[in-house]
Amino acid sequence: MKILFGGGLSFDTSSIELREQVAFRSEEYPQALSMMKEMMQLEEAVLLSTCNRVEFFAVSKDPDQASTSWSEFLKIYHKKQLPFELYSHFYKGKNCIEHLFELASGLKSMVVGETEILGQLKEAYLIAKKQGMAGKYLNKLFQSGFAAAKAVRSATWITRGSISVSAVAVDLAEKLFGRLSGCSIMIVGAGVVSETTAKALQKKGGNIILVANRTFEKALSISQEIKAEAIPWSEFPNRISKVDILISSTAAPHYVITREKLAPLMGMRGGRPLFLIDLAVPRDIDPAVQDLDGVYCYNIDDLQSIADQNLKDRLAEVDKCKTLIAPHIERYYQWMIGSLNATESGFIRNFRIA
Amino acid sequence: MNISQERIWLILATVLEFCVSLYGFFILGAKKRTGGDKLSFILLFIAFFLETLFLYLRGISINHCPITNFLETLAFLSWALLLIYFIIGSTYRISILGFFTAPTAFLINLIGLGGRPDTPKLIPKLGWMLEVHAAFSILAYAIFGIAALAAVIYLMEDKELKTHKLSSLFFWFPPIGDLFYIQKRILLMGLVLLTAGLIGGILISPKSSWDWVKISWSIGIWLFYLYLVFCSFLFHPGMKRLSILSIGGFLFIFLTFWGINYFSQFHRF
Repeated sequence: MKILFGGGLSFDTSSIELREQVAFRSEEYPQALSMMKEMMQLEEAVLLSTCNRVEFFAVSKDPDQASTSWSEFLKIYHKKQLPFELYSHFYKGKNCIEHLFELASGLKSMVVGETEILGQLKEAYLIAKKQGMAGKYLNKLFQSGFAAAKAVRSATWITRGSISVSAVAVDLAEKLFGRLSGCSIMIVGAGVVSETTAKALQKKGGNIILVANRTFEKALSISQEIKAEAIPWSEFPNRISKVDILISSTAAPHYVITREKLAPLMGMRGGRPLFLIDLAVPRDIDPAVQDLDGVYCYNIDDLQSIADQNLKDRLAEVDKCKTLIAPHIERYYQWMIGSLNATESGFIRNFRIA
Repeated sequence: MNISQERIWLILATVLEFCVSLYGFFILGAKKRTGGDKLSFILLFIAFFLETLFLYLRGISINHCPITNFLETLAFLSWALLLIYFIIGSTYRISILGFFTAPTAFLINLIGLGGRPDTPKLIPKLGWMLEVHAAFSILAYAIFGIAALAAVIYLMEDKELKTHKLSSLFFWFPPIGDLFYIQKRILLMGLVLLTAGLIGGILISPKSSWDWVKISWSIGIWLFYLYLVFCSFLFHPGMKRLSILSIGGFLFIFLTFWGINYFSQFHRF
């Protein structure tokens, strides 16, 4: 009798040190699938390898034997003698359907609600399909899973709101300026978070034009790396009127941007808003600047608290997502029972037990 | 079709606007994701069609642009509000504007339907320029109305961004920089139409009589919006101030329009 099952290693059961030993590049999938089919005696199989998991979904007549062989397959393919069986988890029947549907919806991701996993699943499925490894049951399983994920995304807030400081900064910038292409960014001071944030904004089309630092050589070094202009420290206050986003992270013990300095510059901006991101501790920007019309200042705590709130909002949506997924699971399950029933008498009892 | 039958289409449109208002209240209040904006757009479009039908039939009945009495003027204003919303909302993709336009149009129609008796008024035969004067002026007021609604959205979004307390509404807000740009553009558009309407009024005045009460009020409104437009394009007074003035301007027009017309010789409905 055929049984749907799946499993493998994931971030919640195994360390990154272990997962990186068994990661597959997508171009390795065809070879790995052929080997899996032979070693695990599978009828259908899809292999998924991401930074957070190495898993498979399969149809086999002997899932217990196949589960045991999974560890052997990893050891032989990667030539690593590690106890993968101790860290692997497996799902059978309805649990497997539920696992895939929740995975596709981002509910099982490290960053709940992230959407990258859906693309990775689609790629894994297409490779298996191309190789003839995704047959009747896995084809329908993955298509149903993708439909469930789409329903979850369109009806809930699971993907909404960023949950990292730099991504929240990008969201806010987009709320202020719309498209970021054409927005100019100035970095004041040097810091890892400020550079990450600037790069995240740049990725969305923002244009880093100026870098200012108390040490001009340091500003020069950063500006060369990101192809921007380095300016002397004394010049930066006068250039604020020319930029849309300013990211500050100096080590100054006092405010480097005050309301008094900023107020006269705002009239020169033609009414455009100014987004100030203060990533320094102690703070670089006087909170009183927030009283100026068109100035929006966020410090590291503000960004972090929005990120935390977004995460809470996402987690609060998980139950709703599961409720939405349930009928998709049931529909597939009923279809599979019916389908197997038509071909293999006596299967239903075993499948239900599974 | 007689006058009371025409009103059915306006009543239906008003009911639809009420439904969209309630729906918007529910969608914006609850943590509902996108999707509702499409339905509200369709319902508002049907309401717009029904209002167009009402104005068209009324226009045929009275053989004149239907801005001759209290109800017709308000119906024309709410129709114009919807029209401007469809143009601005679609161009700049501001779906939230529909949820603010619907209750405004509903209230305007409700006041019109529940207000004074709906008796078409005989108007002097001053030719097509009279219709241009009335239609352009009310279209301009509708544009100022949409600018005021955009200003309300701006102030709400500004407050959330300033206080760092982002509600479920936040995801519906358009980029605040876009709102600034839109306000500038539509205020200019409104000023151009109002100017055209006033010129129309000036051209027909010698044929009848100079209505100094209404002329003074209209020039006051025109100067106010001229100041807003000049400020927004040349002096950049700050968006918050511009928004407050824009809201104040439209409220002033809406609240004093009827009072001024009462004292006016030729604009009394």
